[in-house]
Parts: sequence; C-alpha cells; structure tokens
Amino acid sequence: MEVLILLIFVSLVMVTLAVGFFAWGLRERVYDHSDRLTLLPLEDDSPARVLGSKRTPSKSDM
Amino acid sequence: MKTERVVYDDKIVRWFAGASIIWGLIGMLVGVTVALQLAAWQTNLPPYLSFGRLRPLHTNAVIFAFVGNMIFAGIYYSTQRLLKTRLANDKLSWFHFWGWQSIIVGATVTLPLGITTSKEYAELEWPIDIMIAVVWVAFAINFFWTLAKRREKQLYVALWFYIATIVTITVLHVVNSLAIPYSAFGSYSVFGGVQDALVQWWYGHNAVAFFLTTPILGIMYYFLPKAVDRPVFSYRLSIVHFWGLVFIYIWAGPHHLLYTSLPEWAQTVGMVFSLMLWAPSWGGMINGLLTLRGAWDKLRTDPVLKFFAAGVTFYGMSTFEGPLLSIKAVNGLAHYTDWIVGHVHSGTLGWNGFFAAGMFYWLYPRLWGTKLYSEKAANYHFWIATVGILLYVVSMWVSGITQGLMWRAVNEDTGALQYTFIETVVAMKPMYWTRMTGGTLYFIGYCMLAWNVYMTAKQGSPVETVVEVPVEPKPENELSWVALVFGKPALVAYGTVAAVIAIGFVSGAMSIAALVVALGIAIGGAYSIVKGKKDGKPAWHAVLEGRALIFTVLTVVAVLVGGIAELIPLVVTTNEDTRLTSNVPYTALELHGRDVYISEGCYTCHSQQVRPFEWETARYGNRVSTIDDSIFDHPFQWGSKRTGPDLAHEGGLRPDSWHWRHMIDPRAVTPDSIMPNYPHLVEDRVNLDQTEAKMRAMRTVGVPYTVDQIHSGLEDARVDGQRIADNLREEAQIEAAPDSKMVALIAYLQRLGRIPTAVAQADEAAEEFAEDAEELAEARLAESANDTTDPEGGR
Repeated sequence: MEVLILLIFVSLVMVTLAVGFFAWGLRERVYDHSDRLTLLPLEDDSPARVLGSKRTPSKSDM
Repeated sequence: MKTERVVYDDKIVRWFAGASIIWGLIGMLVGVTVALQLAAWQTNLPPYLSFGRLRPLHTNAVIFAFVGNMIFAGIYYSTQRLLKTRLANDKLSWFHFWGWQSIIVGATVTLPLGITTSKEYAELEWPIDIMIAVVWVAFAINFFWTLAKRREKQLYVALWFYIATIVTITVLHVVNSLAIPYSAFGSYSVFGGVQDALVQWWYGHNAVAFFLTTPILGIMYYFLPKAVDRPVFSYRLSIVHFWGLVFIYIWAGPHHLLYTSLPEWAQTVGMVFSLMLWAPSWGGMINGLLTLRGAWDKLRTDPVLKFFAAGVTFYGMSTFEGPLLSIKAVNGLAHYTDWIVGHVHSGTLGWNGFFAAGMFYWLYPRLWGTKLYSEKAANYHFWIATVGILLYVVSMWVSGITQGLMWRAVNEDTGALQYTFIETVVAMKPMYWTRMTGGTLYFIGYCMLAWNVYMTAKQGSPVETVVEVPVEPKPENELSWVALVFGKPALVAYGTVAAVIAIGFVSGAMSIAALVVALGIAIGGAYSIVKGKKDGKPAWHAVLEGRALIFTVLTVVAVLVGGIAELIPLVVTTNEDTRLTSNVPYTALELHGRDVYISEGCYTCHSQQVRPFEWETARYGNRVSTIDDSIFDHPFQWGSKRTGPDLAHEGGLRPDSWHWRHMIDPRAVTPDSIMPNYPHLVEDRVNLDQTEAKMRAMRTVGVPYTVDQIHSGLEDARVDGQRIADNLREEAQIEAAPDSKMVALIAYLQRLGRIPTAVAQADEAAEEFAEDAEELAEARLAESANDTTDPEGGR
C-alpha cells in the first residue's frame, strides 16, 4: 500500500502541472485562434439549389 | 478578395444516409429476433437462423452497416463544409459506397451460413476482410485527398476525430485480421491463445472507441453547434478531449480479460487506463451538453435537439459505466453476465442510435430542400425509443447482477454452490422478455424515423449546395514539419510517455527512477515551453491544426504507443510459451470439431475460461484456466458471455451419448434449457478432404504438427470418428456417421480441458467434480422432491 503515497504524490504533481499550464495558456492567449474556428460549423452554406436546375428552394420550403 | 465557386457533393451523403437507415432497420430487426430467441428457444430456426449465427449478423449489421453508413454520411457532409471544398474524387466516393454495401451483403450471406472467424466484431472471413481493407483505404485516400485540396487552412476539431478514426481503424483491422487461409472461406488467426485474446480485445475495445465513438464525437462537434446555432462550448476543452481520448483509449482493451490467463501486468494496465478514460470522456460529454447552454428551452419542441441532448447524456452514462466495470472487483461480478450487454446497448442505442436519429432529422430536410414531414412523429419516436432503451438497459442490469450473484452464491452450511447453472438461466427469463419488449419499442421508433424521412424526401427534391469561398493566399514562412514533429511540446510528450512506459519494464528502484525522470521531463519541458514562448508568435498547437499531414502523423503516434506497449511483450514471449507448454495440438477430428463449434457460434453463449474464484472452480472442474489450455487455439475461444455454462473443462465429464442427445434436444437432458436444437449436425458432414490444408495452416501459424501427423491426419480423423460412432452405438444404440459434424463436435468437446499429457490430473479433477455434483444433487433432491433439473446438465 506504500505505493499509494507515491501515486497520490505523482498525481498531484501532474494535476498541478496541468492546471498551471492551463492558466499560463489562458494568460498568454495561446488559444485565441480557436475563437474563429468555433464559428466554422455555423457558417451559412446556403443557397442550396434543386439538383439539375437553377431553382433555389424558397425560405417557406425549408 | 478573389473567390471560387464550390458545389458540394451531397448526392453521396443522401445515399449513405439512406443505406444507413435501411440497414439499421434490418440490423435492429435481427436484434429483436435474437432477443426473442433468448426468451423463447422455439424461435430458433436451425441451421441458418439460430442464435449462434444470427447474433454476429446483428452486431455486424448495426455496427458496420447502420453506424458505418451513418458516419460516412456525416463525415462526407461536414468535411466538405469545414474544408470549403468538394470531395476529392467522385469515383472514389462511389467506389466507397458500393464497396461498403457489397461487404455488408457479403456479411449478410456468409454469417447465417456459418462462415465466421469467431472473433467478435471481426467475424467476417478473409476475402471479405481484404475487401474491407481495400474499401477503407479508398475512403482514406478520398478523405486525405480532400484535406490536401482544402480552402480552409485550419482543421476544425471534428476533422481531428475523423483523422483518428481513419488511421486507427486501418491499423486495428489489418492487425486483428491477420490469418492464414485454408480454403476459400476458411482461415486461422495468426495469433493464438492468450496472444489472440489480447489482440482481439485490443481490436474489439477500440472498434467501439474508434468506430462507434470518435467519428460520432466528430459528428457531435459539427452537427450539435449547427442544430443549436451556437458555437461549441469550449474549443480549448476539445483539444484536451481529443488528445486525452485517442492516447488513453487504445490501452484499455485488456479490461475485457480481467481474471483470465492474461498476464497480471496487462490486466492492471487495462484497468488503470480504463479508469483514466473517465476524464476525457466526461470532458467531451460536458463540452457537448454545455454547447446547449442558453438553448435548453428549444429541447421542448425541437426533436433534433432532444435526440442530441439525450445522446450526449447516454454517452456520459456509458462512459461512466465502462470504467466502473473495469474495476476488477466489479468486473468479477459483471463479466460474462447480461450487465455487459446492457452497458453496450446504453452506448449503442442511446449514444450511436440517438445521434444517428438527430443527424438524420436535421439532415434530410436540408438534403431535400424541404421541412421535416412530421415533427410530431419525430417527437413520438424520441419518447418511444427512450422508454425502449430504459426497459432494455434496466432489465439487463437486473439480469446481470442477479446472474453474477447467483453464480457465486454458496450454501453457508454445506459450502456447496447454492444454484445450478440452469436455475440462474430460468431466473433470467422475465428479464429476457423485458429486454425484447424494450428492443421492439426501439425498433418501432426507428420504423417511424424511416417513414418520416422517406416522406420528407418524397415531398422535397434533392438539392445541391453551391457556395462562393474566398481563395486565401498561400502563407509565407511556414514552420517546417521537423519543427512541428520535434517541437518542444511534442518532445516533452514523447519523453514523458517513454519514461512512464519504462516503468513497466523495470522493477524496484529503477521504476522509481523512471518515474522521477518522467516527472522531470514533464516539469522541465513545461518550464521550457513557458519560457520559450515569444510574444505574437502563434502557439504550437495552432500551427499544428493547420498542418494536416503532421497532425495525422502525431495522431498515429499517440494511438500506436498503447498498442505497441501492450502487444509486443506478449508477441515476443509466445514462442517461448509454445516451446515449454505441456499441451499438444488438437487431433485432426478435434480440429474439425472445433471448426463446427465456431461455425455454429457456440462461443456467443459459452465461455472457455475459468477464473480464479472458488465459486467458479467449484462449478467448472476444480481447476483455473491457464495459458497452456488455449495455447494452440487459433483463434482463442474464451468467449465473453455465459448464457450457457463455461466449457473450458467439459472434456470427459459426460459420455458421448449425453452430448449427442443434448445437441439434438437440449431439454431432453436439461429441462428449461434455452439452447437451440442442432439436429442438422447429424446429417451434415465434415469436409475431411480439408484436413491436410487445415493442419498445414495451423502449422504455419505456429502449432507444432509434425509432417507425419499432417500426412496421416485424414486417416486419423476417420479412425477417431469411427471410434466415437462405435462408442455411441455401444452406449445408447445411436447410429452415427463417423464423418458427421456431430461426431467431430463431440470429439472436440471431449477434449476441452484435457491436455493429453495431463489427462491423469484432469481426470482426477473431473472425478472429484463429479462426486461433488452428485453430493449437491442429493442435497438438492432432499430439499425439493419436485426438482426435475438434471444436476449434470444444469451444473
């Protein structure tokens, strides 16, 4: 069971490192590029058109 | 800014979506059928439509046909839009579509015919395995080619999950399917015994991870924000989620083999990494749920969001339950029981099925330029399916825990087992009916979806999306690939992981030293990164997200580390194990019998692995299974479920005629048994002409048959068959054809657990066991005069 003390110590060091690294990342704004990326899926990809014609479905269709 | 016109290929998305729904209906119908077969054995229609053959068809159909086509639809739809480009090659897309459908048709034909490898979720035989590899590579080429011609430099998080899916499934499929063919539709795995068990569950667990989880997570990261019209809650969290998940997942496979003959270190690694999985899994779940922040009110009316929100919740539940089941003490109770079946279905029905439903309800109106035909029906679908899942999962929890407790129950006065196996089966029957009811409700819900999206398509017209996208100038002064692959963060990660892995290969003070080194690299590396960051320069990960090839390479590294660390030690030691074993290879007839066992899907209900519990050895022959027992099993037959009793030490416990009667009508010897009848085994013949080819294939994979044994195999099989046929006539006046499948199967069953050089020891254990069984039977008879259960058959 002595190994538990070692494991808990190592885990705490790892957690402290991770939290510290995260805080540093926020301060240094290293993830700012992601602000644009989060919006990528939301970009409007319309207009869709009926296959084989130039007709675009009207808003009331959708 | 200059722009370009792009027409997305949505036709392929429509076809994959349609295929998913059609195959989903078939796969779920087969699921309801096998659930019914467990509740009412009379509904087995041997040979083609009995449980052992239909169960693999159900799992293959729902995993690879239903979910497979669904993820292809989702990946193709979202990838084009996230990369602002059309799929790279239309011909490859259609080759992918028709190739995949051909594979599914191949599975639908071969599995009911009994053509199977017996490796769970990898049952398809080698020609179809090759087709899978070819079609998957075509998909990979199409995907990465599309990445190469993208107009959006940065890769959105959904694409990372798609990349991880494609590269990992390639590795898993190729390694686990390695086999030596002995005929057009027969082969033996190159791995055997414990080695095969580890490879199989490394594959099996990660098929769940990288086929049923990572692509759906990618789909979640795209479609959930789209449906709720809000960005993902935290992009930063998604970075941690991705790397944490792909690195840790691959290590967790051995949790399927706790308390087996797998070396202890591998079991411990599997358990620890399974527990670690909790963190990234729940990080992803929280990220998904919080994306709905500010839009919870929409859940009342929008069926798409209902399915997505419930799907993410089920993901959270099943990823909580998975690590819980990986704790050895819990696993000792739950393994081989229905609890595992319930766990799997909370993930597949709740997470995969609900995400598929949400995606289709969102996608169909957009692909056909119209509204959803009936939102009311979609809402009804949601509630019917939710009730169905709850009935299914709760009944399996109850059933599984009851089974586990009954198996281990011991009479406090006599110390004897409290229940025969058949009593535990009888206790499960109400739960099996409840499960079937839940599954049927879920199936009805999916029928409603099929009708709803069909009507949606019918009222609309197929549309295609045309967009104008800006052409971005090629960036100057890009970081080289060397700077990315060997950048500080990557080096710190490599060094830390290498030092941690080293802990497993050394002992005592050296392992402490390796731990200190790991910490030193992590702390020193972190400090160096913090100090080295220059103002205004983009972060390393931001640059990495724009470099698809390097990103893929690093993903492969993250994924492969765990597989290599677990598999290599066992692969290396197997030759030595084979040299030292006291076991000898199966006789030719036993080998044929083993193939019958595999073909009939016996492994779907019977395990061959006695775990080191007193209550387990007391029931199964007074001996714990060892590596030796299965060392020549290519593939291994440990199984994963005990709907029927374990067969590891079945050999010699009962006369040949008992097996004959049991196979023809299990209830003739074990009243209340739910096992199907196998009368066709009497008429069907073993193809003895394949004897030499089979033995040669076995020799190629490392089974030490001598040349003489191979040459005399055919004659030996005939002699052994005649001996069993004579024995059957003598014991019970049964006329049996020496080359019938029944005789071969009896030869195999009588060999189980009886290593010829250790026969005396096994016989002694069997004798002792028979005496115990007799005493137990007498005690039980005294308890109840009406007890009709056969103490031998029921165990």
